Amino acid sequence: MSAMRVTNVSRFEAARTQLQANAQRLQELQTQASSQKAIGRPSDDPAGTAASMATRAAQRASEQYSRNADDGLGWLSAADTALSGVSSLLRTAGDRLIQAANGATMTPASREAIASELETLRDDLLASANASYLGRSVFAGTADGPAFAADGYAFAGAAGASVDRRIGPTTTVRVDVDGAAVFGTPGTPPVDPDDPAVPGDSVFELLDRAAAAVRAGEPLDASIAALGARRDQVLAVHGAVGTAHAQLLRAKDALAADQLALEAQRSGIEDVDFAKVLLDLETQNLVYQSALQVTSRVLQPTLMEFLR
Amino acid sequence: MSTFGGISTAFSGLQAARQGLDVTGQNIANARTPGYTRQRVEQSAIPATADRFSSAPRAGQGVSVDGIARLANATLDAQVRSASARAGYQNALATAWSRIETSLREPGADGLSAALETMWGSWQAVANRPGDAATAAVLIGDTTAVADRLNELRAGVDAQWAQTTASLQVTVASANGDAARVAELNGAIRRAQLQGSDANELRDQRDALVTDLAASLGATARANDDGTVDVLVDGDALVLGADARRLEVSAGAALGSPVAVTWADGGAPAVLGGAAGGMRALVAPDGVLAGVQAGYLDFAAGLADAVNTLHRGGVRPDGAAGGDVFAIAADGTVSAVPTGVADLALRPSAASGALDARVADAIAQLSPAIGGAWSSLVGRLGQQSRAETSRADATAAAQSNAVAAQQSEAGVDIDEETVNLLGYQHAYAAAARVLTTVDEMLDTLINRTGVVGR
Repeated sequence: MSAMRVTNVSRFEAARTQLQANAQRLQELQTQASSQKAIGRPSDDPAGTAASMATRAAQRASEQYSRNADDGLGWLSAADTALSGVSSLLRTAGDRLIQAANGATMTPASREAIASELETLRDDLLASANASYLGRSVFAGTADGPAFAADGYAFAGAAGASVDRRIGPTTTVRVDVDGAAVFGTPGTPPVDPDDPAVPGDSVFELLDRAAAAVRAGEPLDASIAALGARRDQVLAVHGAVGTAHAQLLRAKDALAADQLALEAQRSGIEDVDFAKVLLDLETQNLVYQSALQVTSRVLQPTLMEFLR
Repeated sequence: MSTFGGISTAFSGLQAARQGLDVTGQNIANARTPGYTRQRVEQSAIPATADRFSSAPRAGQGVSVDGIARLANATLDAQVRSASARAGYQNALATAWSRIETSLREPGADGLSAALETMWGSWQAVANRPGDAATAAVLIGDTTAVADRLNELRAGVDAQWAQTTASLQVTVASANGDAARVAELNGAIRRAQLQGSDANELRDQRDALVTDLAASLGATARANDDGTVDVLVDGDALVLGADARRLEVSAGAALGSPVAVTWADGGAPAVLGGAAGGMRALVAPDGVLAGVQAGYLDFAAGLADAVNTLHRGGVRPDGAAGGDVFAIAADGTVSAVPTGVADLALRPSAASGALDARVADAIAQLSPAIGGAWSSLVGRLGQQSRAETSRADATAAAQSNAVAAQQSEAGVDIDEETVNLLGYQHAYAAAARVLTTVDEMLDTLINRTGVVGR
């Protein structure tokens, strides 16, 4: 509007508005520079806000998955140690049985010695079978308390129930070991006193029977074969534990890498580019100062100054 | 013309110049007075009186001051009023939206989404360590934190409603005062006009008040021939000549109750614009604040329902079925129900192992769905706030343009007044000179006639 009449008031007003706009922009940049945040509130960037919230959620989830993996590694390490012990105990038991089977010249005293050693090995095995991590038995599944009862060797775990640790939105890893698969379940006593007992495949019962057979000088072939089969079973389970351990370690590394990537992503969304803000701030400062200078020159003169 | 006619001509010039100087002085004195409209002396030449006995040409009889004009432009004034009404309305909305989204504290570590994520993490921790009292206590604390944050958001909207309703009442009360003052000034202006005065300063005051009414109520004005102005709110007269009506606000105690603005005489509802209209749009039972509150309540209900459904499907350590995790009272207050590890139903069935915690893991898996719902709510609020802010910026710019246009017409320019000052000063000096000349001429005539050569 070139035809607009220009007055002192409108000039003052225009100068004030312009200076105010400049100062506001300067303050915005100062806030960004000091807070280092590009998004101060949702309306600054609604899409960025949603992305930032999703990234923060993913970060928290990833941190929790790492903690879950750590917990799972604890479980598997405890199971690994216990299973190593179990293998070595079973090997020793096998050696003693073979010793007893071969020794045609064994005296009752030496047979008794082997039998009682077998019973000690059974107790050690029971202790390994009740190995725990943070108070929870690693072979008992979701059950509370020890996995195997000292009396009767009953297995406490629920069938098919596993302890899983979540390491991703869709991935869980089993971190316990099925005690029944490793140590077998005890036989059931006969319903009728005349019926024969149903024999179980419990390794503890196996050692009890073997000790009895050694004491009685009976043949030990069946016990040796059963012990060998049990040892193979333990080795197979141990292998599976190793695989799960390796999976958790890989997952932990992947999660750590994810966390770095997510942090970079979050920073990219939320944080300001400092060099750019600094440059903008300098430019804006210059603009503001020149605006002040120009305004101070423009506003001063009126016709009054030139009269007289 | 008589011999002494020149004296009265010069005198009228002196008077006109003095009047001009006075008005210029008034303009300069009020150069920065808000609402002041510059004035001009209107003068015209007095023609010579007709003489039936002579046809000789004769000069006029001086100058007459016809009045002091107020250089206002009715169209520009109306533009300022309508722009102010729109800006007042949008400003009320934008301010409220800005407050709403600030109270979200998103994105960041203090918002609800952070509290939710912490809680989901705690559910996983409980899944790792079922039966552990300390882990359960942390989960219950985190659940309470989520409930507290939801309550805080809800209470924030409630407080904003109460404050906005109070502001609406104050705005309407002060507008009632303004309307009464406009009516008073209308009366004074009409009387002054009947007595032949222009009452320019009274008009300035009244027009400033009418502009205030436009900003606060969205009022429009209609000028009458007798110098008064009628002020209308949505076609209904708030001020009619020297009479003003009153508006009343009746509001319930809490968000959701009706808020009515009615005419004090007769009780008919009034449709407001301006700042009061914006506030009315915020606090109405189907208004902005109610919508935001409903969004929060919906989200809280969805969260409670999803978590409670899964938890109720679980079995507690004592074998009983699980209860609720979140309870929502009739007034919308959210609270965490479990108080200890014994209240957590983490087993999927009574047959599962004592330390089976699949329910906790299932609850933790709600994170993406609930987080998505919250983030879309935040996004929606942010988007709306952004739109309202940009609308408010646009209307504020329109208002400042309208004011600039009005000021360019009505505002005082000191340079111009200085020029006028010089002009009137010279006019005065010249008129005085004319007087001196006539005086000398008469002196010559009276004292020196007949003494030539003496």
